[in-house]
Amino acid sequence: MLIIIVVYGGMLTLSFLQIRKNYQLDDIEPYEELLQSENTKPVSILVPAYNESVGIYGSIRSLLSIEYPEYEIIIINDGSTDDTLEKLITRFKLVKINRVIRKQLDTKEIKGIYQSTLYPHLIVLDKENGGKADALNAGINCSRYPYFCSLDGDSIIERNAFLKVLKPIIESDDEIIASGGSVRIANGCTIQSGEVISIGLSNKPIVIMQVIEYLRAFLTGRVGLSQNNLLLIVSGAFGVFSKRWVIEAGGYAHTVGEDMELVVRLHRMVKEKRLNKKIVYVPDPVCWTEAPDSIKYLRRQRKRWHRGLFDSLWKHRKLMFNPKYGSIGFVSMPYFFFIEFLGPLIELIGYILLIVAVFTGSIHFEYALLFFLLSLIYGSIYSMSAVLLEEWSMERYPKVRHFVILFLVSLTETLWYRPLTVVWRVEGMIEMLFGKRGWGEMVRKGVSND
Amino acid sequence: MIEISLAALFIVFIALLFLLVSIFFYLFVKKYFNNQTRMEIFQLKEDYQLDMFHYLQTGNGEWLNSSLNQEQLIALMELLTEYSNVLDGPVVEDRIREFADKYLTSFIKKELKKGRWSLRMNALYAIEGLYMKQLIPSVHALYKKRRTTIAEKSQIVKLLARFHDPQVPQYLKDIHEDLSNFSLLSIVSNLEEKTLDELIENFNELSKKLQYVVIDTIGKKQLTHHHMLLHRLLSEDDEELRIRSLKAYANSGLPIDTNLLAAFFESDNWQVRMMAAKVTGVERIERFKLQLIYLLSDREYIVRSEAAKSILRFRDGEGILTMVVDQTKDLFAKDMAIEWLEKERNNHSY
Repeated sequence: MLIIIVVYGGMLTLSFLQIRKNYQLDDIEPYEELLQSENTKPVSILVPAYNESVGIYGSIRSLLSIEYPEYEIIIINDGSTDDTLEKLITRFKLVKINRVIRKQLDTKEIKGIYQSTLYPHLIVLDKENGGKADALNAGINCSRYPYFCSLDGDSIIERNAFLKVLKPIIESDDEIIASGGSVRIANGCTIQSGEVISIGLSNKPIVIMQVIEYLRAFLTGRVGLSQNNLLLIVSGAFGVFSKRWVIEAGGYAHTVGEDMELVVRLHRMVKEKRLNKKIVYVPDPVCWTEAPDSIKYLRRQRKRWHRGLFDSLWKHRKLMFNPKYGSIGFVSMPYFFFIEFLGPLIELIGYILLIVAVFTGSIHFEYALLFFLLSLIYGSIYSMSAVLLEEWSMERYPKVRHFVILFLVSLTETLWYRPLTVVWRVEGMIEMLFGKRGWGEMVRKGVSND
Repeated sequence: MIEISLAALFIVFIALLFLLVSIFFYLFVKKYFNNQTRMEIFQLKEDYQLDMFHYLQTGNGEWLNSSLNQEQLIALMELLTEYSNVLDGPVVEDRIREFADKYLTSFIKKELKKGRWSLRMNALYAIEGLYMKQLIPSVHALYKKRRTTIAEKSQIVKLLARFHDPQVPQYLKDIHEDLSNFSLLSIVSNLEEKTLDELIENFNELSKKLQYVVIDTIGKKQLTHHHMLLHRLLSEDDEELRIRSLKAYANSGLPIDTNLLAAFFESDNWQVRMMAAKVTGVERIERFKLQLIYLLSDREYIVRSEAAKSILRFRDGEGILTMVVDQTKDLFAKDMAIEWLEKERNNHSY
């Protein structure tokens, strides 16, 4: 318990210092030059799509209006069984083209390549179903530019997010090989034609709770870890990678959490080849995504995440406490294994023991109650600090009312949300033991009005 | 024992509760007042907008009191910066500078001395955006301070280069190893031609990093009077220098010595072969058409692609690629030729 408090507290402090430094920095001027310069490196945006018919149009529309000097959008239709491809063909007036694909990574067969006659930099790859990792690898093969960004088909990106996420890469002369931005929850926001018109909060506590969770994870954990090049996740919803180094590392692997696995592999490669390369996280660029708004789908998501986490850790278990891998081996890997992966199990055992103890009377009631209140307050302080960081860095939630709701809901976390996620994650562990694989389905409602 | 622990725990609980409530109220009050201030600034900008536009058009600036509060200053600065981003021309620039000098000088001077990094950076952006040459001495002073970060120094040198300050070459030499290529390129391409010429005169004394940037700038700005330097660099031992000068030829369209170019098609380095193909296309050198066809079968994808693109620059380019499609047995060359012919027909350079 104490270790967890110290670790989280440490990360929070690092994040505070970093974010405070940038607080109130002008939102436009630092990026003007990147936007106008012909030396800004072009980027390929890869959007894997499997049965994304509902959300894909809005998502692509948001990509067509981003502020970036030169980019291409490659949508990879990964053998969808719905009308994703047909919708793209009619909406963007696609025509079939001949294009040479540089096969640097192995993928399932490409059935056809299409180009939009309205937007020449919009390309659609139609391929046989091979999973998200396979789709992304196909996208990498087809891409023209030195950097690529993987983006989920159901997310909406803010217009200047690419400038912000690529700034550190460009200014580091390629020393930074991957850079991730923040992901926020779109439920409750008004989105039209792929642009966030007004930011709001959903009225479902389960979604608000996830908003707080995202704020916390992104603002505290990742800024703290990024500072010391310990970052193990560049979010699957929004991250930019150097193509050369991803290919060198072997591209995406077929696993549940392919985004995290790739980042761990990049870290591993950096250490093994003794390269002077970094992976960073930039809190400000924001990508909005649809969060599950029912217990059923949230449970599936969390179980999947937990299996994904274990997959990555297991694949790279060699790194754990291996002096060759330095801080990744001694800090990041143990952190993700003991705190993120095993934590829920220990917590669940704690809950069970507590309940048993209350019934058998072997526990001092006041003592238990006080401990409970303490954990409640501690969790809340952590969430509130994340809200404070949000205020200092981005101020995305404009109204005082939003902030009061976030606070009140965060107070209830320990009572229901936390135990639920703990149980789901332990369920994920159990499923993993019995070898369950695959994604589990999530029904998309689509975040944008067409 | 439990009694004592309970008391201790209770104290911790109260302390944490106090901390939580304090954070909550701090955020609550701060958010409320921030929103109020932002609204006030927004309103002020609305109020000033027409008068400001009128001033920038006619030069009539007698619509403001001389004593302005913090919010008014911020509103004016934001408004002026927004106009400066969309309006161009020497007269407007002069008016923006005059206005900023008159009303914003002391405000921005104070901001330059702030403890927080982001505020100092904002001030530097404002000085550049509002052409406030009057503040150059303060900028030099900031550069010389010990706590000034490299990001600030980079921004300072950039804006000084834009204002043609004579200190820039020295600053460049001092800190260029810490700057990214992107920043260096932006600084060097903003130098006055005279200053750049001086830098190029001492080319051999520059570090490799600066040499590369200088060559890129010659190409980008098409500084044709430095063609002798580019010519000399084509025979340098350092391969990167040769690649950069080929790139400068491709960017500037300067006529290249074809005898020197001939050897590059055989290079082991694909970047050299690609650049050779590019220069041949840009300058439409008939003599090397065959080499371009040969490069369509290169083992590197990018070289094949560049060769096809270059062939299309010739008047008979489409004919050549069609011939390749009909006759070649190399599937790589054929695919590439088909792709580029299709692009040409659809009028897509991408």
